[in-house]
Order: sequence, then structure tokens, then C-alpha cells
Amino acid sequence: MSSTVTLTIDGRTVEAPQGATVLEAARMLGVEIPTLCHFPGLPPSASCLVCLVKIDGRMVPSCATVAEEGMKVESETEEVFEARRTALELLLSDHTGDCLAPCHRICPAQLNIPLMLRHIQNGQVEKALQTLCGAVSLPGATAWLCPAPCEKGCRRGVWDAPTAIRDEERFLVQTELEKGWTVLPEKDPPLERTAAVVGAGPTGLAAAWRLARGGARTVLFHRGEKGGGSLRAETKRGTLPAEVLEHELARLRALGVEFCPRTELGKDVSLEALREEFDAVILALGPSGREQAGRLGLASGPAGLRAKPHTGETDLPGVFAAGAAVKRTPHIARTLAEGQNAGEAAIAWLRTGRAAAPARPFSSMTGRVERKELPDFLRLAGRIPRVSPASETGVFRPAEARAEASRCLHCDCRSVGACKLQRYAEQYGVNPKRFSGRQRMEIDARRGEALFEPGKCILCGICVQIAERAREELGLTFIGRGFDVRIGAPFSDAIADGLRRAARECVAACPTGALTLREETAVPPPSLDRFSPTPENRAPDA
Amino acid sequence: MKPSVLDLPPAAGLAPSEAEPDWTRAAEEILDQCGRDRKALIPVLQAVQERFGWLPEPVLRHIAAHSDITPAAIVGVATFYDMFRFRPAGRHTIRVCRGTACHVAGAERIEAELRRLLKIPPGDDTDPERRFTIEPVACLGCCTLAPVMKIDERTYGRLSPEKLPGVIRQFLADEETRAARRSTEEPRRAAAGKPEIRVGLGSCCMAKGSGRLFHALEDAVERLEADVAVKRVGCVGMCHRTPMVEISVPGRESVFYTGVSPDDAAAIVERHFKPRDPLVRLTEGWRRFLDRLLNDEEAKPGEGAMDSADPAVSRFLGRQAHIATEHFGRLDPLDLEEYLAHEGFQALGRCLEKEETSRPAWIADQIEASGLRGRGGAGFPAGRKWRAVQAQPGPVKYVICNGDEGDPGAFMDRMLLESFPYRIIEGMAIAALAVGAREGIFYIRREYPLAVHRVRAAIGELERRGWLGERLLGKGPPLRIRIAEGAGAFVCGEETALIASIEGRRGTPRLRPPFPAQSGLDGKPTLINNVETFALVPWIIRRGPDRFAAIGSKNSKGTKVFALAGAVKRGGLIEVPMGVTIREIVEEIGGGAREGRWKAVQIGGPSGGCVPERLADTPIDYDSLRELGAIMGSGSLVVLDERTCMVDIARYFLRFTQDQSCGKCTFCRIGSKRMLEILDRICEGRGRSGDLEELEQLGRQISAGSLCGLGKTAPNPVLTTLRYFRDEYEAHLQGRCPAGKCTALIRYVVTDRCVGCTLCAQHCPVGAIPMTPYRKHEINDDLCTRCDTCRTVCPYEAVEIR
Ligand SMILES: Cc1cc2nc3c(=O)[nH]c(=O)nc-3n(C[C@H](O)[C@H](O)[C@H](O)COP(=O)(O)O)c2cc1C
Ligand code: SF4
Ligand code: SF4
Ligand code: SF4
Ligand code: SF4
Ligand code: FES
Ligand code: FES
Repeated sequence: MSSTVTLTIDGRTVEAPQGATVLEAARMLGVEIPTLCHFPGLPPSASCLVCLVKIDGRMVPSCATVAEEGMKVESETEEVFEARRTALELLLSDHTGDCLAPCHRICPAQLNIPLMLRHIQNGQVEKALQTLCGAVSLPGATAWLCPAPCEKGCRRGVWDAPTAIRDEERFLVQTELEKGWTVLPEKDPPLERTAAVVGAGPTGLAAAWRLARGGARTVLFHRGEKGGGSLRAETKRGTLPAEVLEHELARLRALGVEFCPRTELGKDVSLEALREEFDAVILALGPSGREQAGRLGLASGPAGLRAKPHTGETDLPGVFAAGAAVKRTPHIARTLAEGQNAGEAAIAWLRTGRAAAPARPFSSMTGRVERKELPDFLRLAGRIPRVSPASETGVFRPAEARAEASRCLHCDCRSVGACKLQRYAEQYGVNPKRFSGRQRMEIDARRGEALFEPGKCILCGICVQIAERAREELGLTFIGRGFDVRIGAPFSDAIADGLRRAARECVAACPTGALTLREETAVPPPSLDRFSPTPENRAPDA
Repeated sequence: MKPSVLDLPPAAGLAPSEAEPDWTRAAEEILDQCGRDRKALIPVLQAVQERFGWLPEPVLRHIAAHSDITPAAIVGVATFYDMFRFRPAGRHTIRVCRGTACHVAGAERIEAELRRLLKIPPGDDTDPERRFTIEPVACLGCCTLAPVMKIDERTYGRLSPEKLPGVIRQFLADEETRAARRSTEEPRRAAAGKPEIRVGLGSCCMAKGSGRLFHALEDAVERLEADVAVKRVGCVGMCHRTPMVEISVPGRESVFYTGVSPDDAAAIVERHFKPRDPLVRLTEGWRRFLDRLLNDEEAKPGEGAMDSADPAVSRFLGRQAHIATEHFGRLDPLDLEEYLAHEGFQALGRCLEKEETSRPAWIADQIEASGLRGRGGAGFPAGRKWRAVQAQPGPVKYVICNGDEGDPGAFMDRMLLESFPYRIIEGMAIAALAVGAREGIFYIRREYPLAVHRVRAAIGELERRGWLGERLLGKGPPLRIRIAEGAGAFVCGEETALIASIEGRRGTPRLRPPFPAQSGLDGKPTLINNVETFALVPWIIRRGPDRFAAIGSKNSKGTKVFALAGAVKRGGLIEVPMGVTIREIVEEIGGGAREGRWKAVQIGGPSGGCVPERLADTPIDYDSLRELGAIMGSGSLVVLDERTCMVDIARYFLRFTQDQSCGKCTFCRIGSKRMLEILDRICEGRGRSGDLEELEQLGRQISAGSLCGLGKTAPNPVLTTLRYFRDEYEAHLQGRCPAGKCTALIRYVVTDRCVGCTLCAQHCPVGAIPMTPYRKHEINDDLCTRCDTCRTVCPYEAVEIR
């Protein structure tokens, strides 16, 4: 008997060691097969079935099927993909969790709010600023002017009052000003391409920010002297401190945006000339841009200048339009997002010749949460009422900022980025709405270093096996049967009691965010002596 | 509103005793008795449950601390199986049958009404005073009496919601006067050549009072000093007519009485065995009884084993052919002498005569040549399986008899185990010789206590004779046989799950290959066959494989036992040659529809499908059924008539499998739940366009992707009804239930035929009909629970379903 077997996978031949699984053989060929319940070194559980392949007309889990001589395996076919996609869709229909927190998803600029709050809570103001400035082009503008739609979706609001997200941003920008810092987002390597932006209102500034970040040489043409557009009016009205606006313009200059003032499109410079000179042009002409469309040779519709949604492409190749000239936007965050999106589309165009709308990462969504689901989550949060800035400047002091940040419930998933389910969902383009269903939202944060969210568990049993292998005294087990099966420590004890030794190993092996470490959330809430808990805010075990 | 709740007398002595039981002592006693080994887990839990009626946590914790059993194993296993409870139960247990026949006959209404009556809160199973615990069961094996429930040991059939208050009251009244009952289980032997009164004592017959009848007959014989033995025999198959009595006098043709009650006992004995006294006056009971005397052909079950392999002959015998059920209705299940007198153990003897080296191959040859395929559902060729185990190296191998029968409309295996324990042991012993196993295990569901008891008694008897243990039949190689009792999980019928369960683990299936033949119990080669498969083996060896192969169709040989139930005139257990058509079974053996027209048969239970009447000329064999989308399954055959809603029936089966899923793999665990949700909304009139297509697509994906047979076949009932009865689904999408079954889509209305007799108002359990004498009654639709009582009680047919 030879010690290897030869089989074909999608028509390609591979020689695998005797006893190897089809999955291992596929990996030898570089054929990627998704797996969730498979864990090297443990006997196969063959339960998730996202690793299906087709052999001899039958769908079988590749992780548990031993490769045999002459086997013909189909892996990269639409039929197999569809089966895997359905498995993922079924798993996600029974998945209660949010890869991205609701506030994060609502934020038009997609600011990772809970991450920012954790930095604040941990006293890492610079890191928090990095998070803020990496997502929002003009953080100062949002910090003072944004109506904070994120707070409307904040889960903490279901319990008492939403986290004061906008106030936290204001605290960060104010600290930046006071310290004399200018925090810049990370920049991609230079692109060797050039882009022009016309208009220095918030849309234009946001677009220029995105282009410069993306490595394009960016020139911003504007009519006036200093730039800022409608934001200038806000400083006059006293809603936005003038120094904050100046600081934002300085940030853009520091990022490499070249300002070209006193230059009006159609008068001082023509669109043709710009197209001649630059590889891409973004028009952010403001409300007056609507009438200009015809003169510029661009089509217009009832709302204004015609541009494709999401990318802002116009009929002219390489010319993009965004902002009030295209469509009125409801508030500053939306405006900035429009500009940033056009900038991103233009960057994609410069890179690949195709303008692509910004990709949003896949996120599982829990949907509406009820009050009675929250007490367990409050164990991880400050049990204090919402903090308002005490000083008349309306800006938090550091202790206040930290206290308020501790109220965040960390609705995002601690596993985002590492979670295989999320990754495959994105890769396989699952339709999360194909099936509906929702489990109760729960977290076991009673004690110990491991946290457990049953709603995110896909019942792969890896943790059960690892705990057994580690000879845990209590260990973990499957509980119940059928649809209601769940993982837990025996006798309703805390998950941490079942994982005295193997917690870290299990967390690392868990394919989803069901098992995580407490430390990944945040340091324990800071001393809250100043804030006496109200009965309302007391978590049940307090 | 009139009082709708029973005035139950306060339950005496119900309060759980005040003093804490001594948990530690109990736990220690149980560990001493069952062992402290990991594998003892399920027996240990069963013992705890037996002792307390539930599993108290202090006992479990003590067990974990003082044995090799881990806490994780205890909790994982205890929560997997249905039999284990975590709260104390009520004093009485009401087992409400959720089997197929009962479902079709309205079991849901019974359960709903019981809960209302006993004030059992939603989500709970016991009333607040802990008097009654309701426990749904898959099938009580009295399908011909549907709907059926059992309170403790008493069975009540042909129920309707309005009968329930009376039934409960009667039960509580009886309970006080109930005397200790005598056992019917000691073997009673008649001297050869002596007349016998034979009473069927299978559990279905017992359910209908055979036990009491048996004692009544004994009393009568004693009183009248008649020279006759009263004898227990196994199941007689004609469940629609039990309790049944056969009067057997040597040299004369037997006389059968069906539907006999204990009151009739004296009359029977008098009639046949006291002819000297012509002046005995016929009692009233006797006259009633004469009316029921049955003389048509169905009353002659004792025609004996088929003597000819000629298919024409078997057709002549009422289309039945008795191989697995050979001598049925004539053998005392536990009388070894009698079994021996009927060629018992001759087949095994013949195998032992063969040279030891050539024996395994010879046996496998016989089985292979007979064309026998497994009767447990999938129809895998038995000979091939035996050879596969035979070919495995190594000294340790096992043989397992799969008696987990969980199909909610099937009880063939139970009947075989109860009636022919020696025959099945013989078949199993032959298999053990063929594959080289020295240990055999019967895996029998715990819900079959009589089967467990009889198999255990038969094993005990054989051990006493030295025929099991060191030397098979006193001369062969060693063979030990033991029993493992299931703990209530349908999925444990699946062979890999069954093995996990015997090993004391959660009964979750695993991917095959490796098959049990390669790696089974404890990783050793293991042969698993169904009860009926083993029951056929001795006949094949005795009569020769050719005789067997001559019966049946091209690829399906021999006979198959079915449980025929539903809307037929004559239901019961039948054994027919493969290849008879569905129509022959329903119309000839079953006598056709009880009322009106039959529209389909459901074959194969939750894994099977519905075959419409227009395809009823299809022969029953593995391959033809599979082509129709159904399967042979374990052999339940439920006849459905016009009043059955096919969407509801599909939902019923899917609910069963969904509920019984082990919960391991994604497609079955979540997929079947999502399918069920779609069916629920269709039945509730909330179906959406695209639902039928999603059912089909998801159904196909579940079939393709699931790990074990349960998930792979779970969509069958839905897919076949979608294929043959799509119009009914479409009607539901438009808000109509053509069969008038789906409660959300129907309304009860009183028509102008109403004369105002107030009967409906008197009977409505929820007071939805105001009493308006001599005037047309009205039903308050908001209160109406669609229990159907008003329609059944109205003498003027004035209540209609719209
Ligand atoms: C969900 C499920 C339930 C089953 N239940 C039974 C059962 O109750 N009895 C049985 O003999 N086989 C049952 N089987 C089939 C067994 O897995 C196995 O095929 C059978 O016992 C083999 O015996 P046979 O070859 O004699 O049919 C079941 C299979 C599945 C998938
Ligand atoms: S476990 Fe994965 S899929 Fe679920 S919320 Fe977390 S990251 Fe998203
Ligand atoms: S609690 Fe925190 S993470 Fe959740 S929505 Fe509010 S701010 Fe966002
Ligand atoms: S918690 Fe355990 S069973 Fe659940 S997904 Fe994570 S490793 Fe798997
Ligand atoms: S198909 Fe169902 S019963 Fe079978 S392993 Fe999967 S979940 Fe368990
Ligand atoms: S079944 Fe193969 S990885 Fe889960
Ligand atoms: S007794 Fe109810 S279905 Fe069998």
C-alpha cells in the first residue's frame, strides 16, 4: 500500500498523505475552504458544514472526509458555494451579535465609537484621537455641530440615557487644541497621481482629506480667502469656535492638501483645464453648483447636478461631484461622509480606473434590544447616570470624559476582524435577511477572565474539547438538544468556573466572538466616587 | 360564563415531604448498584430518575464528585435525553399521544383542552398543585383508537375534548378503589394437547384491557372448574379488534372473539367448556357478545406459517405472509419449550453444525442469497453488512439489535420484541456467529417496558439453561447478550448516535464513514441490525434463502411488517410480501376508507412522504417508494382522507423531526427550524409569496447538507406534499384551508338549520356560545378555540366550518 493517495480537486491533481482529509489535501493545493468547527489537533466534529465539498454527487464535510485514491472533489463551483452560503446564512439567522456597534453603523463617517470610548476610558487620549481622526475628516466640525444620530441608536439609551458620544469627541478635539497636537490619519503610500477638488466647504474639505490620505497629490481650489465654506457661517453664529475651524484647516494642510484660494471655476479656471491638468476632479460646489451644471457641460436632474449615488461619478470620466450641488444633506456628518465617499471613489478610480463605492464590512445585526436583556451587559459598564460637562465651556474634563466613556456597553464584537464567521459572510456575500430569527441577547460576565455570549456561539464544541483536554475540573458541556442546544458550564455555573485553566486557549480557538477576554473590553470603570449610582443604574448584582 | 374547570378533589398527601431526602445516601446507593465508571452514566441517571422522579442537583453533584463521571458529562447527557426531568413531576402522569394517527384524529385539541382543564400554565408541564404532569409521547401504540392518552397505566382512547372532564373524574375515582394487580408475566404452560384460551398480551392489547380480561378468564375457569388453560400470547396484529380471544381446541378449528370485555369472560368459558350444563342462562353480556362474534376472514389470523413460496398462495392468504411474525397469536412469548416445539433454535442449531472455519462464510452466503435488506429504514443489504464486519480483523466485535423504534406511527418492532423475544435472540446469535462477535446488545427504548421485560426474561431463561454465556446453545462459542435501555431520543435510532448512547454519551450522530462495521462500539467493528431484520433470519436459515427470495419483488425480497392506521376500516399490524401495492394494503387488507374517500398514504413516518391515491398502484418496495419521494422507513402506514390538511401533516412531521434533531449540524438544527417557521406562518394564514420556493430550495439544501439521516430526510414530508398537493399550499397562501383543519384559517358558524336545542352551548368548553333556547345560536368567534365540540354534538348538523 502506498503511503500517499492521489485525488483531484476541481480538476487539479494532488498527492496527499494516506489518511489526510480532503480539507488538508485542498490546502496543499492552495484551494481555500472555509472552516468553523474544525480545529487542528482535535477530532473532527463536522457540525458547522461550511466546509462542504461535492464528491460523487454528494455534499460532504471536507474536514472529516478522508481523501481516497482517485477521488474527484468539487470545491470552487457555484453549487458548492451556494451550499456553504446557505450554511452561513442559517448560522447568521441564529446569531445574536453586532460585529460593529449600532452607533458605529449609524455614524455616517463610520467612526468606531466603542473603540474610541475604550481608549478614553483607559486614559489613552492620543489613541482615541487616532481613532477619531482616522474616520472623520473634520472631527472639530462634528464635535461641535453634529446632531449625533449615533446617540439615537445607542443601546445604553434603552437602559437610561445614551452615551454622550458627541461630548466625548469635543473633549478629544479640545484636548488636541490645548496640547497643541495635530493628529493625522494614517496615509497610504504616494500614488503618483493628482487630483483637484473644487470648493472648500465641508464637502470639498472632506473629499480633499480622503484624496490626500489615499496618497494623491491634492489641490483644493476655492473662491474665497481662507476656506471653510458654510462652516465660516457657523463660527460667526458662535456654534463652532473659530479656532477649531482653523485647526481643521491646518490639519488638512499638514496632511498635504494644497489650498489654491481665490480661484473660481468657470472664471479663473475651466473644468477642461482642470481635467487636462489633473487625473481626477471632484466638484464640491455647494448649493450654487446646481445652476452651474449646464455651463460646465454636466447633466442635471431635479435635485441638482447629476452624479451617481455612493460614488459621485458624473457623465465625464474622472469627474466626480458631491455635496449640496448634488443633493442637500441633512447634517454635517452626512455632508462629510458624502465628501469622503467621493474622495474614496476617486482614489479607487485613480488606482484601478474604476470608481467603487466604499465597501462596508459585513456586520451581523442584533436589531432592537429590550431593556430586560441589558442587565448582564451592565456588569461591563459604569453604573452611573449620564455625565454632563460641569464647566461652562461645555467641554468634559478628563475625569468626566473617562467616567462617561465607562458607560458604554461595548456593543461591538470583541472578535471583529478575528471572527471567521464574519470573514466568510463577507467573502460569500451572504444575504443576512434570507432567514430571520433572533435569540436573546446575553452575556455571561459574572466573573473570571472569560466572557461568553451564547448568541454568538455556533456550537462547534471546540471549547468543550479543549476544556476536557486541559482536565478542567468543571469544564464545559453542550446543554440540551436540538435547536435549543447551548454551551455552558454544568449546573448553571459561570463560564469562567468551567474555564479555570483553559480560558485563554479557548478564547483563542473560538471561531467567533462567543468567547472573549474581559480585558479586551476595557479597564475596569474608573473610580466613580463622584457619581453616586441611582437605583436605576444599579446592575442587579450590585 | 359557565364553570369550565373541573372541580377536582384536593389531592391528598401530595405535598412533597417536608424533610430533605438524604441525597448523599441515595447517590451512594445508586453508584454502588450501577458502578462508578464513565459508561455507567445513563443507567445511573435512570436510577436517580426512577428513585426521585427527577434529577435533583445535589445528587448529581455528589455523583460527579465520587465517580469517574464528570460534571460536564452528567449535564450534557442528562439534558440530551427526554426522559430526564429537572423538576419534580406531578403525582400522575398523563401521556398524550402525539403520534401520527392521533394527530390526524385531533390530538392537539385534546392536549390544549387538558392543559386548560388542569390549569397547567403555558410553558409548564405540571399543574401548580403538582397533581398531573402532561407528557407528550410519540406513539402509545393504540393508533386504531386515536386519539389516545394514558393516565399512569390506564389508557383512554377515542377521546374528544368534551369527554375529558369525565375521564379525569373517573380516573380519580377509580384510583381510590384500585386494588393491587396480579402479574400476567409468569409463563403459563399448557399441557400438550390440552385446549387453550389464548389472550393477546402485547402492550397495545394490554392498553385495551387484555390484562383484566386475562384475569377475568382465569377466575371464570377456576370458578367453573373448566379443563382449559388460559394462556398469554404475543400480539395478534388486529389492533382494531383487540382485546381478542382465541379458543383453541386440538383437532378443531379455532374460534375467535374480538373486542372482548372482562364482563364477557364467564360467558366465553361457559359456552365452550361447560357444555354439560345446557341450562346456563345467557347473560345480558353474553347476548351483546354474540352480536360481536366475528366470522369473516379477518378473524382468522392463525392460518399458520406460509407453506408455499408461491406468491399466488400468499396473496390468497389475505395478502399477508408471516415470517417475522410466524405463529403469531399462538406462542406464549416467554415459553421456551413452546418456541422449541415450533422449530425454535433449529436455525441456530444448523449453523452450529457447520464446520467452525466455514461457518461464517456459509451464514453470510445464506443471508446474501436471500436478498434480505435491512428493515430499519435504509434497506441496506444485510449480507453485505455482515460480510463487512466479518472481514474486519481483531478479536473483539459486537452485534447490536436496534430496537429504538421512534417513528410516531410505528410499533412493529415493539410487537416483535414483546411477542417473539427468542426468535430475535436466535437471529442475533446467528449474526454473532457470522461476524465473530461474542457480545450482543439489545438497544430498546425505555418507553417499551414490556419489551424490555420480556427480552430480559428470555435472556435470563437462556442463561439458566446454559444456552447463552460461555457456550451458545451449550455447544457453540461464547455469546453474552445484554440490554441497554434508551432514554428518549428519536435520533438514537441512528446507528452512530445509538452507539454514542450505549457508550454513555450524548446521542449525537457522527459522519460516516467510518461505518460501525469498521469502527463502532468502543471503536470496534460492530454489526447493527433492526429487530425485524433479525426476526427474519431464523426462517431464512431454516427454509433456505431461495424460499425467501421467491417472495417479493426484484430488488426487495421477503416480507415487511407495517403498522396500518389512520382513516381505514381495519387498522393493525400486518406482514405482507414486498411488492404488493399500496392500494391492495389500504383497500383489501385495510378495507378502504372508514368514511368517504382516502386521498393519500403517509409511508415511512417523519422520514417518509405522502403518496397520493392516484399513485397507489405503486408496489411497496425500497426502490419504487424512493422514486416517489417517500421511503419504506420503519413501516408506518397512515391512511389520510379528505379531512386531512396536507400542509398541516407536513408541518406535523417536520415539527417532530425538528424537535428531535440532535442539534449538532447547521442544516438540520437551524434549517429545519426555519422551514418549520415558514410552514407555521403558512398554516396561520401569514404565508408570503416566495415561501413555497424557499421551502423547496431550503428543503433540498437540508437534504444535501445534513450530517445524518434525520436531517437528510426531514424535508421529505414537506417536499412530497409540495410535489403532489401544491394546490393545498396555494390555497393556504390565499387564506383558505381546504380541509378545514388549520384553526387560524377557519371559523365555526351556526347555520339556519339550528333549532335552538342549546346542546352546543351546553358543551362548549369555553362558553363561546350563549344559551338561546329555541332561537338560532351564535358563536363568539373571539372566544372560540376551534375545539370542534359544537359541530360534533349538534344533532342537526347546523354547525359548519367556514
Ligand atoms: C434518525 C434515524 C432514526 C433511526 N431509527 C431507527 C430505528 O428506530 N430502528 C432501526 O432499526 N433503525 C433506525 N435507523 C436506521 C439505523 O441507523 C440503521 O440503519 C439500522 O438500524 C440498520 O439496521 P438494518 O440494516 O437492519 O435496517 C434510524 C436512522 C436514522 C437516521
Ligand atoms: S461573532 Fe463574528 S459575526 Fe458575530 S458579531 Fe462578532 S464578529 Fe460579528
Ligand atoms: S453603548 Fe457604546 S457601543 Fe453601544 S451603542 Fe452606545 S456608544 Fe455605541
Ligand atoms: S463558544 Fe465554544 S462552541 Fe461556541 S463558537 Fe466558541 S469555541 Fe465554538
Ligand atoms: S442531521 Fe440533525 S440529527 Fe443528524 S447530526 Fe445533524 S443535527 Fe443531528
Ligand atoms: S463541518 Fe467541517 S469545518 Fe465545520
Ligand atoms: S397511539 Fe397515537 S398515534 Fe399511535
